[in-house]
Amino acid sequence: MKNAKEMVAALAKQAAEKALRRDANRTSCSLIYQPKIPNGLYRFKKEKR
Amino acid sequence: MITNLGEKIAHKLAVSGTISSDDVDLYSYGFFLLLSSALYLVVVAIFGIAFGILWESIVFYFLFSVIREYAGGIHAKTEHGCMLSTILALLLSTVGIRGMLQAEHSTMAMMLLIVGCAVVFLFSPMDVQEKPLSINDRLYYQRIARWLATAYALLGIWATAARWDILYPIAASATLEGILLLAGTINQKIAHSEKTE
Repeated sequence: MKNAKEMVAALAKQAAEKALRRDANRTSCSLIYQPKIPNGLYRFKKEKR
Repeated sequence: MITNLGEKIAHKLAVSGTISSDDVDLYSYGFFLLLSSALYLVVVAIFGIAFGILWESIVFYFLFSVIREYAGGIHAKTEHGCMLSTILALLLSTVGIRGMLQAEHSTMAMMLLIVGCAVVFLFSPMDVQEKPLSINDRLYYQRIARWLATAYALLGIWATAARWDILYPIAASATLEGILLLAGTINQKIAHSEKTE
């Protein structure tokens, strides 16, 4: 049970990171509301242009 | 609403030690993005089913999301305003696709597509105060947005020639993005002129 919970948590973390990586490398989010971006978002930015 | 849910999930992950407590804001934002996209995909699918154009509505949502993320445009000031305006925009777009499909208005769809793509070509990228872009980023996103606009226009021309129904979701996505981009540009110009006065 504990393992299952840990697995779900790890998957949720991975999914959130994927969304952050995507957002860090885009002009803005696709939704009509753009919240203020958190400081750490630039960690997910690709350096090469 | 979605922000709160995202925060709750991020806090739970911090409590369980999966993420650092310093990263709660960052992951809350990640979950907000994820949950919002999923919610609007469900909304657009429901509209699609209701109007009998499920795959067209999903293609529209996908194409709109892709071009929107690079071209930018106006954003609502509050989350509630966002939910209402997004749902309304998705509903109107689905109705528009259905109307054009039923009437076989391929000429009108092509015109909307060309105008939408031209707006994207001329005015993108448009950043927002909450997420400002550097000069390098602006040039990079402008290049991608222009490539996408060109690809959408070419795909539309091909779909018209092949009498393929994908023309209508492409036209709707370019039109909606064109409207949001134009509204954002006008909004920025007004704000700028008010500042300088």
